[in-house]
Amino acid sequence: MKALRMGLRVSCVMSLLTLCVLVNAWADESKGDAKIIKIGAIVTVTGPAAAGLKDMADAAGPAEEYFNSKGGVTVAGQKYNIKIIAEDDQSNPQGALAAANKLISRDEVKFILAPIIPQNNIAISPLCEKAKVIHLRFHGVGGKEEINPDLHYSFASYMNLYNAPFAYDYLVKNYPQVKKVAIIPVDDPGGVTGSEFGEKAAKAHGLQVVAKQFYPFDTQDFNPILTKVLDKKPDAIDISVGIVVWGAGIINAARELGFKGPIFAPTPLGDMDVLASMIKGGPQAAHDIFITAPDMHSPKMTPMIKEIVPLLEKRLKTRARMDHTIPFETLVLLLSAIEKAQSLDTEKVVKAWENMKEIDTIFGKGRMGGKDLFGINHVVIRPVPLSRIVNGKVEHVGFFEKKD
Amino acid sequence: MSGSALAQSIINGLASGGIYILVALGLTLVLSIMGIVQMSHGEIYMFGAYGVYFLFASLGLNFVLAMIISTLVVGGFGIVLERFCFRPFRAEPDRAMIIAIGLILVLQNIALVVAGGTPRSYVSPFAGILHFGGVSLSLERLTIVIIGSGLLVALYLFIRMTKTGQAMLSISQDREGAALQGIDINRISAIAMFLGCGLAAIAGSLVGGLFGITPTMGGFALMKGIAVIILGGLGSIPGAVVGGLIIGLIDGVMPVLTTAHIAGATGFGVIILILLFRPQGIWGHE
Repeated sequence: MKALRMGLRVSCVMSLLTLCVLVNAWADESKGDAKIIKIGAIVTVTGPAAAGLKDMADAAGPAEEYFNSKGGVTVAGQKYNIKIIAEDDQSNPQGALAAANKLISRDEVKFILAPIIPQNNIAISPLCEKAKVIHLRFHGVGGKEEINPDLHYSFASYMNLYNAPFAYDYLVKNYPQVKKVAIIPVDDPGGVTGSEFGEKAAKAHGLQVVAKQFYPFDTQDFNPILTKVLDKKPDAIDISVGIVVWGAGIINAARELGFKGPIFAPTPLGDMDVLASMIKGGPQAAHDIFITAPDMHSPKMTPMIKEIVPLLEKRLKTRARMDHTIPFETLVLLLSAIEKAQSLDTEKVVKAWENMKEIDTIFGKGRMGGKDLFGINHVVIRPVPLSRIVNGKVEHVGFFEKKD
Repeated sequence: MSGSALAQSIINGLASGGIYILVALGLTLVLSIMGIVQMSHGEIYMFGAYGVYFLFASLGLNFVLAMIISTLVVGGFGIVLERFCFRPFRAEPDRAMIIAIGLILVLQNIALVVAGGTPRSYVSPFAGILHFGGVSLSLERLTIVIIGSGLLVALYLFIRMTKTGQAMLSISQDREGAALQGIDINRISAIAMFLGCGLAAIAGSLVGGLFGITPTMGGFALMKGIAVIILGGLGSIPGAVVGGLIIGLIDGVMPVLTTAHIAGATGFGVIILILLFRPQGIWGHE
């Protein structure tokens, strides 16, 4: 009896072990159908900028799921799923460099979704160049420090510097009475560059720039700055470059001080619904505001946006916001380039990518460009959404495209 | 610069001064009683703002009721902080300051995880703009100034005319002497922390609605609060008023005359200049 019980125990253990081996083998066999491409993502989860940039980090998981559900990418007949490995840049260049080091040396990634903060992306460029790692930043107001002929592996999903002409086209067409513009950018490299482009676009449209007033990064109360600017009697205000909180601050201060003209931004300040929710004074104050940013929930959005929004809301249990689309915006470009190159060799991907005449973007068909401003075709030129706020509600106006 | 712009800048400055005084009140009270610069005062202010946002904008409670609840809850949290974070280090103000700095990171990240990073705002019940003599002033800012003034008077009267207030005054003058007189230092410190955090919560509720609510909004409150209490005199309520008005007027007028950057530098330049001749601050005691 004792021997029988012992025999039963041994056979149970052996069965379990056999089962484990079989399951493992089956899993390995399943994995063998699709290999994995590891893609690094340097996100901002801690530090002073985390509050504004957390959405990108949150959306990395849904983005990975989305592209894998679409079949990932196929290279030389082999299917690949993507695996995003996220590291925190702690809102500073040193953190970004540490994150890039980990991704490249520990995880051996060859592709990185670059940090949003320009200084942090600049910090990782030398390391990425040396390791031949492609790093792709999302749309921003980057300068030549981020994209130039010396940075062979640096790409951008778009550059908002191209938006100024569209914004001023819309301004002069819809507000023909506007003759004088005031530009109010944040005092950082993006603000300086963006305001130069704004000034150029204003003058090209026959408008006079009566004031250009920079504000410090930590500004909360915009009344003093707007008091000075409005003393010059502008007909319109260009917010230039900034984030939602500053944009709302400028709009609220302007309306409080009695300014009734149009207020616009040629760069997306952030999510339009969040901006609309921060405008005080009710619908009468939330008028004549337009920004080159998408109305994420408009029925006129692109098919890809309409697919992404419910996925994000289901996964993240919150209303989808503009920054949630950043991983999608960058991944669709990267995967298209890899598929075009039919190789994971970054040298081949770079070569194929910079010559793509057509590329899928989340806002429709785009193409490679950037040589005019950056000396190298490493910027995706794509349709630009424009939205406006009317009676406190966000409305999609249309898409604009840069013509050569 | 036109006359109306100058007049507007002065109104802006006075309104800003009112905001800074409200922010600095709690900070100066805690400093005078507990002897530490409560570096996480800005984060307490931020919690107050989020509390009102949650109660008023999300749950739909009456704004005043939301503010009262938020103030009481945050004030209660202040008692917990005093008991577990600051009381053990009462004799070591340097360590207490390190704890307070650590609290900044902890509280900010708690807010980031719970509330997310998306800026919040709510429609103030004090909506509307007054236009007079070519200048504009929002009712929201005017309300902040009025409530701030009321709290200032209430705090002054509390300190001067109540037994607890007198005990606080004694402790701020001589802690050991007060203890020898039978004053319960622990109890009074807890009350001071409750009041200080409560005042921060009220400031956050009102000012957060004006400028928007984010997990990192406390930095502004701390910078301005410290500048005001250093200029006015550590632990001095009349000093906080004078300091707040001076810094408010500099912040309101200088950007219009020069630039925002020069205004920032001017504010601190004035503080340094005054401290050179009067190290204890304008209204501080030697």
